[in-house]
Amino acid sequence: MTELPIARNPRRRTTDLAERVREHESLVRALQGGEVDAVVVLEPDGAKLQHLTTDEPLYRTIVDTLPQGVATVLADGTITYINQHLADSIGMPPATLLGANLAGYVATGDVATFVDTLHAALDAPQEVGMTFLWAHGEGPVLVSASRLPVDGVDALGLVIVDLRDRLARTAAEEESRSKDELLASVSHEMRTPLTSIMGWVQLIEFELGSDHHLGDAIRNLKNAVLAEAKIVDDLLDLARAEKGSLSIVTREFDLCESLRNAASYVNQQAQAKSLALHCELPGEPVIVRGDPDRLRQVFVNLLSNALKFTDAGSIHVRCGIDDAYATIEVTDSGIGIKADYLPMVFEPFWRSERAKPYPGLGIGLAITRRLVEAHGGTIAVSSDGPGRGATFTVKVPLA
Amino acid sequence: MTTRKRKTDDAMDQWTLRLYIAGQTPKSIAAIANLKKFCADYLDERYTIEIIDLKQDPKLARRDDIVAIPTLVRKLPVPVRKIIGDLSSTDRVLVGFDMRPRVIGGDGD
Repeated sequence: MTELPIARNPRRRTTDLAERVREHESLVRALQGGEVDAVVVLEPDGAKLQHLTTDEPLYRTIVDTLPQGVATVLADGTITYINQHLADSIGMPPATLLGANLAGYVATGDVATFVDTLHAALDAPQEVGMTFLWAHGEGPVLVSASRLPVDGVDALGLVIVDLRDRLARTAAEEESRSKDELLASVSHEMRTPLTSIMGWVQLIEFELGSDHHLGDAIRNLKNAVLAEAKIVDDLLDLARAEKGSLSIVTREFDLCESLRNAASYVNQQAQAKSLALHCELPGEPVIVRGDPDRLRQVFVNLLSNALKFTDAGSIHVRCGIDDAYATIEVTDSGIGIKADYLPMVFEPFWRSERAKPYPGLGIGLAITRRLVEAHGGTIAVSSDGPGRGATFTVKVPLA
Repeated sequence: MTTRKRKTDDAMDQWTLRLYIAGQTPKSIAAIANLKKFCADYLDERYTIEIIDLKQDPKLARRDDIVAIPTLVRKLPVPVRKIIGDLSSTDRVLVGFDMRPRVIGGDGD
């Protein structure tokens, strides 16, 4: 065997000829090797494809494995094809059902309508449907029948959908939706009087002056109202997040600002528990695109959470850049989390047994996760186990 | 499939490739998969692929004088080259695109 470089002839005609020879060689090889599945047939006003192989096997596989019933039948109901799902619904193997009459598996009371539906579909310009029960009592199922384009034969394509799953699913969705709506309306109703109470408390505070002997009582009242408002706001946020209508107003800003802001907000809380709060922030600004108030809320939630579950030691906040993400870590030396519970901490209203003595509803982290995800980010938690603290890691895409 | 990467001058240019297929046929799907693999192995992201489904509009076959499906057309770099078939033989694609010398007297595979 000799290897020769391709002969390149400077004269264009010869080059063209060589290209055409190449192309023909390529065609013959491809045809011989069974690599071609259609040829183009030119017509005076266009072109059409002549298929050498068909795409039927692929569609057949899709239909065979479709999780809905599919069959083709003759006008009298004789089965000419049946997919696995439909055969399973009837309770017989497809091979046994082939050639049998589908009407024979329909509940006695529905047979006449079923047969009428098949006949109606033959003449109808579009599909015709009905619901019926199977002879073995299961259902209801919805059949939609449409005429198949087979020359000289009256044939129908049937799609049969089990309505039981669908009815059950609709009921579950309905229940979930009404729960979300209840949550939203209750939270909203609770928020309105709180705003009013806060207004009156501020008025009383103003009238009495800060050095009045009831000053402490007023301050306690204010703090209690603020705490209550925070819980109601969280519930409202959760309700909005479930509905997918959290409000996020985005712009480019320095994430370190939000972190500093959140840290100073919880600093008093840290001092009250004699916990050290360390922040390691980069010297450079970390610019992200997002809602500064919402991300501040994320960090306040994470820091409050860390402070709540830590009785001694310290809280560390670190911010860095990892590829296209700003990475923020909040590490505490608190009660820690059992490995089994790690996947549950972001679920709404979930609280571990050991968290029960601490105040809260178990919605802060659920909202936090939704807020981070609304920014195209991720949040993860790790812990070395009970009593060994926890680390929450948030990643937010850089602008 | 060989993992040997033979870089030629051609491989340094931006490649414009057009693959003609006909619906979800097995050969068409194989051709797309083989083309993607060829590009990933030999062209380092310096390529664009346009896939034309003649099942949608067979007239488009006239644009590049397509006679059989699947056919891969290299529009750039010139000269324009066509390779007919499902591109399952990488060697044949390399030879077809002058990235490897032709073997005279053999079947080229």
